[in-house]
Amino acid sequence: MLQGTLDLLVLQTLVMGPAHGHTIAHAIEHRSENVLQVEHGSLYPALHRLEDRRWIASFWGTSENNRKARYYRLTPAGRKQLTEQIGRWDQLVRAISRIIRPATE
Amino acid sequence: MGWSRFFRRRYWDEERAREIQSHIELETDENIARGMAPEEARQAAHRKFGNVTFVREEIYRMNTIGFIESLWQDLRYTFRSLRRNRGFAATAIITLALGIGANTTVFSALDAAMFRPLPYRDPSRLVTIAWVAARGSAEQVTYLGGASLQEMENWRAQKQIFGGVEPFSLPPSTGVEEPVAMVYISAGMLDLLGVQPRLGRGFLPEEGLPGRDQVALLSDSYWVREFDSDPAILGKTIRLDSRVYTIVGVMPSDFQFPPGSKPNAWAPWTEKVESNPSIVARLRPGLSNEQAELEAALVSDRIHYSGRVPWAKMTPEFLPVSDRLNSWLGFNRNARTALLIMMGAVGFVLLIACANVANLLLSRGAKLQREVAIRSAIGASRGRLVRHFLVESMVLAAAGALTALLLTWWLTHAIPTLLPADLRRLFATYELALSKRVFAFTVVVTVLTCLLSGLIPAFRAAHGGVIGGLIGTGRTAGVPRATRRLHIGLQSLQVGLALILLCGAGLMANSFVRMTLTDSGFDTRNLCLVRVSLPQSFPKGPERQAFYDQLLSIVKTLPAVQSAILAAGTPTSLGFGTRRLFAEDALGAGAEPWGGDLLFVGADYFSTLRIPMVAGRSFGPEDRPSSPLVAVIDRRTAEHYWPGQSALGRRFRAGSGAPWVTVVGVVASVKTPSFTSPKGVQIYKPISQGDGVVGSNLIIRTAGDPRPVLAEVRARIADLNPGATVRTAATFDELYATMDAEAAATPRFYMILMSIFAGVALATAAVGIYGVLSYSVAQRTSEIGVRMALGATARDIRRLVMRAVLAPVCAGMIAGVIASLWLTKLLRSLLYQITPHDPLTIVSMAAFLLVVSLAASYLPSRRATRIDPMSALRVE
Repeated sequence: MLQGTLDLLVLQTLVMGPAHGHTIAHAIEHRSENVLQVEHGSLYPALHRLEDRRWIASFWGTSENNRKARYYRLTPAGRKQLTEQIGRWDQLVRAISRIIRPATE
Repeated sequence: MGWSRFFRRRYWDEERAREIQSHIELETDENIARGMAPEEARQAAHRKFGNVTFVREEIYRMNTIGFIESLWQDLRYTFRSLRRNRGFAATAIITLALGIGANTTVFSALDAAMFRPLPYRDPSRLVTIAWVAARGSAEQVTYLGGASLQEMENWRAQKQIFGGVEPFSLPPSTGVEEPVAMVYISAGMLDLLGVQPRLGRGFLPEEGLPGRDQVALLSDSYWVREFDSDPAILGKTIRLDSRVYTIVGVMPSDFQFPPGSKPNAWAPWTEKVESNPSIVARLRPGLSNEQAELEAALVSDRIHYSGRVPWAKMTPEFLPVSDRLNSWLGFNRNARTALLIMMGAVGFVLLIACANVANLLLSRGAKLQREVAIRSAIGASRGRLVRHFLVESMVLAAAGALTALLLTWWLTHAIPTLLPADLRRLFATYELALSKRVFAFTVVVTVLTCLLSGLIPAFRAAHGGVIGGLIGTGRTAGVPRATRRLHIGLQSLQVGLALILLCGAGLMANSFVRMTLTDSGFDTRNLCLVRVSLPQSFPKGPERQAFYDQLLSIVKTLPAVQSAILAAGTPTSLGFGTRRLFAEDALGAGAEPWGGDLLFVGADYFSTLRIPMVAGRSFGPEDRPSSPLVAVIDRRTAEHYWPGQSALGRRFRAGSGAPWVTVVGVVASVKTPSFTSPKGVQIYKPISQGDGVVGSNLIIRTAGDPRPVLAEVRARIADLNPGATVRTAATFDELYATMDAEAAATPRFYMILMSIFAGVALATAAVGIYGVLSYSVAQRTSEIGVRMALGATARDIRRLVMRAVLAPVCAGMIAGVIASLWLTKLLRSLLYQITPHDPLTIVSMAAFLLVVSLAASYLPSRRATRIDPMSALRVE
């Protein structure tokens, strides 16, 4: 997966509301229609980093099937960060498309 | 990365582990829900997750600062391994503590004496004024002394040069050795210095006038000592200098004035106190010393200076008060040289200590070969291993430094009581203290020590190959060749440095012995000196001489007196002068001009003292005030200026334009207070040509014990003039005993210090030789076993082992001798009657060192011969 995009995906997933790591991993897989395969382990360093930057916050909660799990939610700073990152991502995608399909008009 | 995460990284690790655990359980639950068997579900969850440990490690690393983390590991590991090897740790730490401690102590003395600024505002702008005759020529002479009131006023008017000029004076009765009780300073002096009393006030301007001057400022230590820090001291009275003063203030504890002197009290200087005071001036802001001197040269003709010599142009020179060499401190060039030499000596001691610790670390590194191999096999980089070993030597050096600071702290408190008088006076003012500079110095020295002692062993230890280290070839192959070479190099270094210090100590001891063995140069038996001073009210000039002449004629009638004479001085008062002797003829003028002092004596001076006449004549009735000026000089001077030729009839003078004086006689040199300085001339002139010099020193030779005569003379003096004070009444044997003790105190101190350093160096080097050899014998046990099994005798083995010592010892001694020849030259100014290249000293010290080295290698070599071949070979 592209460097740095995992952060963006995690933040976007949390827009829907608080979720724990397991849910986030599955959500990314499902919503990309299984194109993006996340090795679940690699999610946690990303979560740690994001929390360190105070873009997300965490708390212990109980999962739908009654297991204790750590939930993450987006902070206001994280929301701002997400908007910025999406903007940058769109720019990147447009730039790359212009390069690889120069004469579409 | 936040610091909070760093310090709570263990907590976070556990937290993430729990989270990961819960993740896997959730996944397992889902897998089971999809219909997998529980065990299969768990494995699938793990597969999906990836390597749990790897993820945890990644997060843990995010929480740490890698460098600090591994440094902390190294530190903990080092502490553990040093605790296990207490003997090794103690040896290394004590060695380094001695080395660093010696450096810190000597540096704290150097710091106190040379680097610490004087406690005044902007002390570099404070100067005192000297006058220089014939500046820039070979016959340049500098005159330092008091200024007349008119000269002081003239200087005060030079506003373009000075921001202020203030006088001070010492009480006239002060001897050189006694601590000064009271100093007179002008009312404006404290403002000039920029110092305020800690209690009360300074002097008011009107207190600088006679009649209003009965006020005093106390020194802090006197206030504490005598008045128990009484806060209500102001307004009380105190008796000083036979007058009563009202105390108006107490000075801060670091205040000293004049620089280098901490009297009990200061009183206002008035014109009545001293009409020829010393002066201190503050240069106008923005003016450098050179600019100020140029400005002063322009106006120097308009300055009234009473000491002008007729034969040369005189220009003022401004000597910075903070320049310790020129201050009133009496801290002379010799003392500075000696301190710097001691600094060098302790530097060598530290180098030897470093070499020793490096040797220890090398041996230890070789023992740790297997461990190093394992660590590098599981992925430790070379740099990481080097750092680990450096951390170890840093810990040793730091522990050594801490011990050293304790040692220094104790020594700086103990030292002042051990010092000779001149240094004690110095350090009474510049208290030894662990200043910031001393701490900074210690830190720098410690880091250097760590690198010097640790770098090579660290690289060496980290170098060992994985395979070789794991197989453990150590036992069969003995010490690795590269390590052995390093050992030899370090041992040579130690031996060489120790030899240099031994030579230094040997030379100083030799010189000291010569100093104490030097006799007076004349017959002091039954010879005594009486010095009488007359009250101030007694008329000056011829009346005074008449009094002494009368005294002389009375003394001559005493039955036990063989002969008695009057002179303007004595041998024990010679040798403090700075006037230089310039010869007229080409041969003499080619010699370096020496300085010295002159003595006005009568015709029978030499015969009474029994100073041998070497050539020419003594003075006679033909030497009248109007006849050509004549002089008798001592043999050493004659040989210096006119080597191999007769000095008789030669002429010399005290500077260009001064009258020429003809040498009419040469006498043996006598021992004077400055006899240790090799460049002193002894000049005698007839008292008849002395232009009114008063011969007030009565020298008496008696038939028997002079002491009853002295008592008799005292009584006669009291009869003659009850107001006269007997300053001295002693035999020359007593005078010389006192003088020798004073002259020898400083050389003895440096000799002892140097001997201690050399002793420590020698002991450390011996321990080094012993340690390395013991280690090598242990490593070669099996080799020696094989040799013995093949028929080598104990003698062969001993020779084999001791040969290993000879190489480094010989190499070190050769290098040491060469370095000594070069370095001991620096000692020249401290040596008396011995050249720095004295072959006997160098050879005997080298022999001594060889004997000690062989003694140090004896035990390990004997241990080698005790090896049992059977058990040595069975270990394989």
